[in-house]
Amino acid sequence: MQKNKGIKENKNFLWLAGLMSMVALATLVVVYSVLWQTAVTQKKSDLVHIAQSQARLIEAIARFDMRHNRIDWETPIGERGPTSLLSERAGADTFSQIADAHRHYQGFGITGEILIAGIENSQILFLLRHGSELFEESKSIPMDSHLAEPMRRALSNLSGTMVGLDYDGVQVLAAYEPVDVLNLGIVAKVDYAEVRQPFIKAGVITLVITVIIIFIGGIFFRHFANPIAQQIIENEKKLRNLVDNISEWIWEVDIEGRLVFSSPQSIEIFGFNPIERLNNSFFDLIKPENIKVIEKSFKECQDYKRSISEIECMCVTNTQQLIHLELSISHIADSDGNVIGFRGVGHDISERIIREIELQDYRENLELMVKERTEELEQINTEMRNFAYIISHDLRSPLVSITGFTGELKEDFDLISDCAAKQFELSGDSCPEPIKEAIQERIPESIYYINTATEKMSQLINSILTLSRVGRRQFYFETVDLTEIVNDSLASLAFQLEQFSVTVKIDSLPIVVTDKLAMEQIIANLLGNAVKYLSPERAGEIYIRSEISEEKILVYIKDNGRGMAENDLAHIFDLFKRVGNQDVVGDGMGLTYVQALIRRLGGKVECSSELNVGSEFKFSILNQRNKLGDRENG
Amino acid sequence: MADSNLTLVLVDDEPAHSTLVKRNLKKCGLKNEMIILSSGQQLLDYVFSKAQFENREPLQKAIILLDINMPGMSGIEALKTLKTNDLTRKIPVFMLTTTDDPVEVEECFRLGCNAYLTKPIEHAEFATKIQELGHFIMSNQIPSFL
Repeated sequence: MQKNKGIKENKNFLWLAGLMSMVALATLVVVYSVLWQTAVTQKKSDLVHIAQSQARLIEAIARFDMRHNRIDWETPIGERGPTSLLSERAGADTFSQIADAHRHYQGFGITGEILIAGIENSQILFLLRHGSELFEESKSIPMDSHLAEPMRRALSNLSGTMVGLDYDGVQVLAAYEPVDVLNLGIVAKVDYAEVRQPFIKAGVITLVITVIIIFIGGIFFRHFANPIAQQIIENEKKLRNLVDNISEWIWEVDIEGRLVFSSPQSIEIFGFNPIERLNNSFFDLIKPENIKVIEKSFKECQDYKRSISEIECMCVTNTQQLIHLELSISHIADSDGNVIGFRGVGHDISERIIREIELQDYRENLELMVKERTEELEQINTEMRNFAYIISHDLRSPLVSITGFTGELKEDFDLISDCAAKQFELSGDSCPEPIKEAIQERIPESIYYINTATEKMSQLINSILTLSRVGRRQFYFETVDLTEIVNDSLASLAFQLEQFSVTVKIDSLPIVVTDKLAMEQIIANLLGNAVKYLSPERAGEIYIRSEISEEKILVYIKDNGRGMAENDLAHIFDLFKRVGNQDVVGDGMGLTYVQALIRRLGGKVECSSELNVGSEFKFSILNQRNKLGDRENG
Repeated sequence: MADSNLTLVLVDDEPAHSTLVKRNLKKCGLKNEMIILSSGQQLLDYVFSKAQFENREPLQKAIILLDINMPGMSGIEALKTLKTNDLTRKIPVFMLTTTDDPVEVEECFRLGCNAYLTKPIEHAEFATKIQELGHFIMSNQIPSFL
């Protein structure tokens, strides 16, 4: 993969370099051809100028000479004798002057030459060749040779320029001009190679520079431009990848609502291939009832040029199934800011909706369950409340009968036994032993046990009744001084305190807002217990303190009494449960009652204890002082 | 000595209780007629001479000893009916019940009962209380409600 990529990159680079070279080359060719044309034209004009000025000069000199010498003017040049050219004095004089003049100047160019020739014996006789480093006379070339074409034209009385071979067979650029007076021809020429040479040189240099520039450019491209291009390609790929791989469907429509782009997620969401629906209306996908909403959203998006998100709608898939889609819409604007289409993201939320519906069902179900359970609990609560009646009436009623009639029985039995005793006394008969036993022992014993049992039962019923009334009594909240309550409670225990020589330590206790009666009962029970269960082995110590926080008030009552074993601690608040030695009188009800009261006050009671070391009871109640303050202020 | 034309109406669903009350009232020397009924409805029927009591002896003076918790019409409902009727409003009604629930007590006094007595479980206490009631009845002039 990486290798292929490298090859492809190189190919691209070569194409680019080739293209740049071609462009550079074409530019060079055009530029050089124009320059070449210009240079050749210039050169030609120079040569013409030289040839013509020389010719006119020679003619002028010749004419001057003619006036002072004899010259055969009448015979045309071609028909004069073979020796006529130089043998004639005037011509010789003129030419010697010209040659002399030529000797004194340098000539032009490296290969530039001025040639003067005439015809002698059907031969082109070169009278003068003047180059920059050359000056010679007399060289002849046959007239019908292919060499020295420019001179041939000059001697044929023609004037102009040409590219042709000179006498040496070298290709030259030449201007030719006849010299009328002396029947001579003059040619100014320069080697074609010399004209061409700077161009070749410049061309080579330019080419080299171009190649270097292209090379450097290529290096630059590879190092700077290419990475940027690569980055762009990479980003494009990333974006494409993202579009392909996210679960959201990305779409784009034109202003008419025709789909112009659809990401491949359409396959999964709608079941259609992205290309399949291109140019179809976007609204074909929407459930007819929802189209209005979507149209409105498009309109809003277009009018206010802002994105709209979380539009929920139902859509129809290729298989006519309904799905829930959440759409977001943004507008696409052209460079003038006109909205030309919309694009957005679609998210299949069907599962979420299903789950929401399920959740809603659950919630409703739960509400129903809670309602039912609450009703059940309320019923139980009502039943619990009725418990007080059940105990105070339904259980008491038979008890009243039992005790009542036992009492009646006892009275009647006493009557009978008295009567019987008198009868036996009067009659002198001895009472039979079994009857005597029944009267004197068994019946009173039976009555005694019935009474003990009913008494015990009566106690239990009263205890339960007391407890059940905790929940029935209306609490009245007022400011209560805990110190006062503790002191009152201690006062009622004064006898026991003295008896056990108890030291009581009380920290400063707060004034709280609570039900006074409940608090009195709580404190009395806990302090009563603390005193009741002091150890006979040591002087009693009771320590009462409190902690106040924003939410609650904690009260600690600590003693150095007999304490409790860890196993017993868990059961101390249970109804009728008594732990440890049963040498102290109690109904097993006090702590249960305390716990019920504290719970109703919104608090908690806990106990920590160590056998033979002591116990500490800690209870909390809600700190309602602030609330009361609010009320008072309000 | 109580009025001989005073009738004591004992209403209790528990015959044992009625029996105990009757016995103790008699023990203290009360000789008046005692009618024993077992529900609120029976009491109303008796007072208003209805149903089985259609042909009862005409009443001149009466004291009703009324239990609260009874099957059918409770003592409280019967009390309410009696005390809201001008004909029967003046009949003294003594609630005699096993319940000492303050809510109940308050409700009975609100409806207009003339006394609220709790049946003590202890026999001696019970006997004493009922006999005191007997003495009270005997030593007080009960107004005619007619």
